[in-house]
Amino acid sequence: MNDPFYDAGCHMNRRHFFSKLSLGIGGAALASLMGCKQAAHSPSTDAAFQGILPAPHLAPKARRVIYLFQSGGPSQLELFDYKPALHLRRGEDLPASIRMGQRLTGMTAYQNSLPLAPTIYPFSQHGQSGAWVSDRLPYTSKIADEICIVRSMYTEAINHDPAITFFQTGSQQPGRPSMGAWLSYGLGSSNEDLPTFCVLLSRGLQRPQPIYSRLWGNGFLAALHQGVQFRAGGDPVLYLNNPPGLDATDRRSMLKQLAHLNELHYQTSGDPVIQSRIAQYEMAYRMQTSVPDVTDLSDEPESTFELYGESARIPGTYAANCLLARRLAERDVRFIQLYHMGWDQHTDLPHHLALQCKDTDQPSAALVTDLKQRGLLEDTLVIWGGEFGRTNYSQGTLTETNYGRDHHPRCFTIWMAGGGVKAGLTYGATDELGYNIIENPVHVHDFQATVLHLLGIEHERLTYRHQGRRYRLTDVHGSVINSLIA
Amino acid sequence: MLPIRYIWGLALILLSACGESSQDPTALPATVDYNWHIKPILSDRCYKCHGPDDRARMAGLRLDTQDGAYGVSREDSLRQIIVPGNADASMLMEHISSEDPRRQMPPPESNLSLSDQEIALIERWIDQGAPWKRHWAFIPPSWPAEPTVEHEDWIQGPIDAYVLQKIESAGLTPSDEADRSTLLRRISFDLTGLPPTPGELQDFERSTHPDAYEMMVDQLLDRPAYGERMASIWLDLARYADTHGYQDDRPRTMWPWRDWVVRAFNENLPYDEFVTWQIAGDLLPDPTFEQRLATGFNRNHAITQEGGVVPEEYLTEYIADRTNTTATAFLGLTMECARCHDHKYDPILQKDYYSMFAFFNGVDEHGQINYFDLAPKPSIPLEDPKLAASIRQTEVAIDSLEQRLADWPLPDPPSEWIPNPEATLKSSLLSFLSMDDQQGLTSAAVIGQNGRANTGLEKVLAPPVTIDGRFGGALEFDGENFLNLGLEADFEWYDRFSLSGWVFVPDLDKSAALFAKRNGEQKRSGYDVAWTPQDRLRLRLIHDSEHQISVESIQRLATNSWTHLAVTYDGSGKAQGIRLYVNGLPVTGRVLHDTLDRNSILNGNGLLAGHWTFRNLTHDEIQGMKKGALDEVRVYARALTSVEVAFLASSSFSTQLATHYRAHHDSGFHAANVAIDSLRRRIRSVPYVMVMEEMPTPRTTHILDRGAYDAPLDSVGPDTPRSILPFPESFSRNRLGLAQWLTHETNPLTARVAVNRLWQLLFGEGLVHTPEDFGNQGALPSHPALLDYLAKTFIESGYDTKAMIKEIVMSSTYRQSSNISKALLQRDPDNLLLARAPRKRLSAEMMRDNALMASGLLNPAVGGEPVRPYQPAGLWKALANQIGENRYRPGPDVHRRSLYTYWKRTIPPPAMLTFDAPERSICTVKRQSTATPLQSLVLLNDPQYVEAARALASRVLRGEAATEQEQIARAFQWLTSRAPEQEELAALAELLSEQMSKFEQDPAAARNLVSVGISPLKPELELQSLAAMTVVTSTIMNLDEAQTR
Repeated sequence: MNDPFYDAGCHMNRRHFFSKLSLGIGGAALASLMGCKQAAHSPSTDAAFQGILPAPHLAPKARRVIYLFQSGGPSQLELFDYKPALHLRRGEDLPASIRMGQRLTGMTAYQNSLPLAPTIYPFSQHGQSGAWVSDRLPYTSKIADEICIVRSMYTEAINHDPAITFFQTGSQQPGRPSMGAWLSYGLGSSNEDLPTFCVLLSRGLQRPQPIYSRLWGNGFLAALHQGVQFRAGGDPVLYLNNPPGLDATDRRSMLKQLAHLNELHYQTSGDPVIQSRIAQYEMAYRMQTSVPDVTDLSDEPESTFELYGESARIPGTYAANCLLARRLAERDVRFIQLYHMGWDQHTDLPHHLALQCKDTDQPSAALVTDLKQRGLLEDTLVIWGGEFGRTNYSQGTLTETNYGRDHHPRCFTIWMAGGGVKAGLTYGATDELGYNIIENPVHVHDFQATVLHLLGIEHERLTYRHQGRRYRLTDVHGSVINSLIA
Repeated sequence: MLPIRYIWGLALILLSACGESSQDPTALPATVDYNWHIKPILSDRCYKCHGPDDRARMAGLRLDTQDGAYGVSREDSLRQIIVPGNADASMLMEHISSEDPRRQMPPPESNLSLSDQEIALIERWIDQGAPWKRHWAFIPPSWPAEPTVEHEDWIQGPIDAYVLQKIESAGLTPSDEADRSTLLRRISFDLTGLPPTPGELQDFERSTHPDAYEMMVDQLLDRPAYGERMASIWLDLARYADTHGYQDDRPRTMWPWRDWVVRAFNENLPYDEFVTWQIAGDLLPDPTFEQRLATGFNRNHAITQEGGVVPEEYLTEYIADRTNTTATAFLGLTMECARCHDHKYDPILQKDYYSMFAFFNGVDEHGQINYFDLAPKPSIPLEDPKLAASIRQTEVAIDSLEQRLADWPLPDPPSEWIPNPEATLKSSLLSFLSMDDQQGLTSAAVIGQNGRANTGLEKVLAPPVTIDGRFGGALEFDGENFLNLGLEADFEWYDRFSLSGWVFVPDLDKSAALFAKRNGEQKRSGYDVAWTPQDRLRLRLIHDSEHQISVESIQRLATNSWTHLAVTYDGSGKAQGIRLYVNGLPVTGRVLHDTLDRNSILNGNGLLAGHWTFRNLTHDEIQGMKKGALDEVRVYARALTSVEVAFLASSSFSTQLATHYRAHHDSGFHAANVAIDSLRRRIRSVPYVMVMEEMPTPRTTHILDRGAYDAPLDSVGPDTPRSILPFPESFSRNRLGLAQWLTHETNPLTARVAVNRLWQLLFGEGLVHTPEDFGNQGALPSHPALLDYLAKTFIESGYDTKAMIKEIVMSSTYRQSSNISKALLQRDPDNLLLARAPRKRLSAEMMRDNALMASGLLNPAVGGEPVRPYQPAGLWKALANQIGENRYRPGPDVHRRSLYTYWKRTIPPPAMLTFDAPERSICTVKRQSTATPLQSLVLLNDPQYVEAARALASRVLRGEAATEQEQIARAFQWLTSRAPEQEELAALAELLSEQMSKFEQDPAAARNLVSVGISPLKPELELQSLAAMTVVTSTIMNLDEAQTR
């Protein structure tokens, strides 16, 4: 950028950082959200003032994460966890020997019977790896050799709110920082003009379960570690656009005077916070250009939309968000969190699940393919998955063509790609009825520990002291699942 | 580098705590103190495995007790862990200085380590005899010795003596007193959360009265705004919100409790009573309404309504939350660490946790509450005589006016009068769709789009098709698609309205929705007009399934032909206020439900024609119009007369002429209708509010294994931790006994924790920097004697909060300048010595209130229901959590103080979070203060700040200031509480003239800028000047100085 104002501010920033380490939060605040252009030879993560960790604990395999969160609890039995035995025992009551006292939600706890419900969708094996994937995911099937399917995830929560909160913050109850906030706090920012932690929302047709801004909240960490929500239409980031009647030139001359006046005041007051204020306005000004730049798809060729699907042209769709995630990854945003709502198929599952798949299958696969062809997959960890799985028995009446499934915490499937995970691996197994895990269980805290590990962080060593104890994302649990790591 | 910085910070605290004055942070103190130097290290690095938790203890060694630390080693019974006076012989030294990873402590795998300096400290402490002391915070405060200082002239009172002693022993001098304008700004924000006015600044600066400052302090403490300021802190601590907090996050009524907090501060309720009422007001003898209301404190936690939860699991969470909040708020203890196991650092056993838990386990409440419950039990109706009287008065007025209207005589229309419905039908018409062509439609309504910004293309529905209609074209639906008439016509129960159109319907098996404001939510309020399978016309006004009006025609309608249908509603909230018309003639209706009972029917979503939902769902026997068509659709914000309906239906209107005449030509009748409309808007019922109330037999409390609700171990009764203060036998083992224990004169924590928070309120940091933790892991007080002095003073004053605040703000310490010399910055960057006053960024509430006050927009009304200021459109909808979507209604409530902003816990107001307000999910006793670019974007572009800048510009342009420079100076003074320097003025004047020339060339831009916000423009102002001055005032608003005090 050839902009004298920019350059002046940038020097200010660097000077500020170096002079202001003593201010703790104030200094860290800017360090995360900004970071001036580094000299070409110095890697941008090199700056010691970014993030609380002076250096990663381990050599990172992933530099950034794109988390495609499928909110509501996608049914593993319709997508990845193939259970032919369910067909043989269709309609039989779930045996107590299998249920083993597992608590049920209030939605099926009082149901007269729990009839085993096989999926109506055919499964087949795909790729060199021979991964089982159902016919609802034709595009994901094609990238079977790129992804690592974990069929043995489990959680403790059986309701949406605590389960999603658990996945994103490591605790079922509100109040803890989210995963992206932890990474922002630990690693700081690796990009120049964009927030470290970006959040993109979309939803399917069915009336979805709501989500909550605490899922990208900072908990007890500083507010600057909050995820920044990108929005479809209007302001792509809240309050980004100048008010009507003011253009970029006006804004610039105003900010020039503002910087001048703040500098004058600094002379009398001597408070270094004023310098951080000057830098803060500088970054805001740059965001006003860099955010629209990343959300403007006009420079994308036709082939992009062939890959992601036509709906990628419509802001706010899952496809558009997947494409936007790639554009943010290209700009080295650290943590890109998508939420796609609408996977809560208690009833009428075959119909609604198919619609969800249609919305998400092509764009998810396209993202992996696209990252790979751009050479970004290697150091970008892509995660696909929801907060829990669904029961192997029908909620409500089981008919030839229709059934529903309740929440199931004991086993479910997620997949990961890139960023140092083993491509083409299917990990873990459930029993023949798909109710319990029989091989290689992965707890939510294990998953979180593994993600941090891939980013070069030992999960037990990224801590924040609050209320007298050292908190961490994985609470006091979690082990890295080394088998998942390439 | 930051962690290192924190370690040095700690070292500095340690050193200054001991009054050392060395410039070298690595120097060891001459006398090592156990509490100040040693225990923080042992606690942080050793207690996890060698602390109070039995189950976690390694090698049978505990270092948190004297017996353990001076005891012998398990591996070698001849060796003592610590040999007082002999570090070399102490086994502890051997381990902590070992480089052998097998012997080294802390072990490498713990990720903990000791610095060389820390090891040296421990060594010196042992050599000095290793004297042991109880944890400082568990020793009741006592009157400290009055320190001797050199510069006695600086001292206003004891506070200054304690502070000055430390400053002097560090070889420094305090800063000069701040200038008067800075002081007034400081006390105004600190005590009321609002800036001083230019008039107050002028009076204060000119006053020669020797007690001018004190008089100002007294005046500020007397203002209602003081209570609001104090409440803003208390609401964070009490995790107050206006919603239940989980999942769909529905509204709750707790604002009467919030108003009580404001009143309690303003009336200066003594702190011990303030605590007692909130913990156990209901258990006081003959409790007053306010004492019971105060117990809402412990009902403020989140409560779930999510379907399918296990209620016991959530009950456990609620009670745990009360336990944690009570411990954090009043005791500064992290009791929650003992929920799953004995506390790792403090002498609190898991049994202690559940004994405390038992105090709160006797409330007759639900784990999962009803979806619509605004005040789940136990709750009490609000006792507010004024409110009750006004409700009664309104009811009586409505009744009598309704009767008068019912009896209003039908006039004889003058013979020459001919009704002209064509003309009257233009009034209050919200929407008219001829359906002749779709081009005309798109501007008024959205065809075919499914209304979800975020859904993939796959599901865009086929647009309705144009067919030959009753007049010109009509729109035919396929049972899935619909016409979205937009957000208008969001009627409340007291709004009058009408809907009409020509309808073609084939045979049906389920009700077809002709019009619906429902959005497919069975739980959502709204209204719908349907054609039932029995071919009847039905209008429903719905609050929920229990509160609705439903009226259907007795007459059956003819299918497969065009029929004109109309429904009208008169805003009465009753079924008799509904009229149904078929082909222009009124038809008799059958009342199916008449239980709306003046409950809200606001919906917040689009008005649909042709379907009841965006989502193609069938519910409640209602579906879309498969093969049905609509033509000539009209929506009115009033009840049409039968003549008008007849005209629309092209039917004869020879009857009912008089009714029509009365409606449009009888001014008395018209006025009576206007009057009743406004009365109905004012009607409300007495709200209920949640409180604490004991069950006849409380639940049995068990210790829960790992804290899990379904893993009960031994049962325990109510008790408090012995290590703090044993529970006196004479106290009842209930919440009232707990309150007495908390406020007992020998409770070592309550008063210290309270005064520390007051200090934090005024200085940004408490004397203990961790207000949430006074335990072993917490920070040590920077001024222990001062903390004790304040705590003792507070107790002896009868817990007089205002007096405590006054004593602090009257001190020289508080009144120092906040300017920082380079030397002082280097010497004491964190201001631990208090040799200057802190500059503090304004809080989230202050930031907005400052802009509102300076601009003259602020509505200072105190208390009442939460208000809904500007909020970005679609904010809640994007998270599928739009139930009760925040839609401000233009009016004075938009500009109330931020304390009253509706707090939706799962999606709090984003600008507030950006300025570090907590989400209010859990008890928070300290806010962070950050500086981020998102804050700049809020102050630059949030419509509230843009509007405030314009209003302030308008204020100074219309004020007394004659010249541009004087006008700028005035705005500058409003926002920064001082006059600008010449150079500052010059810069702003340059900006003004630059913007003037821009807006002169582009008047449209000027109009756009000044049109932001609902406050009206002052007509006498020239738009270009106003716009240019708006840019200037916005610039001043964004100054660092305008954001700090």
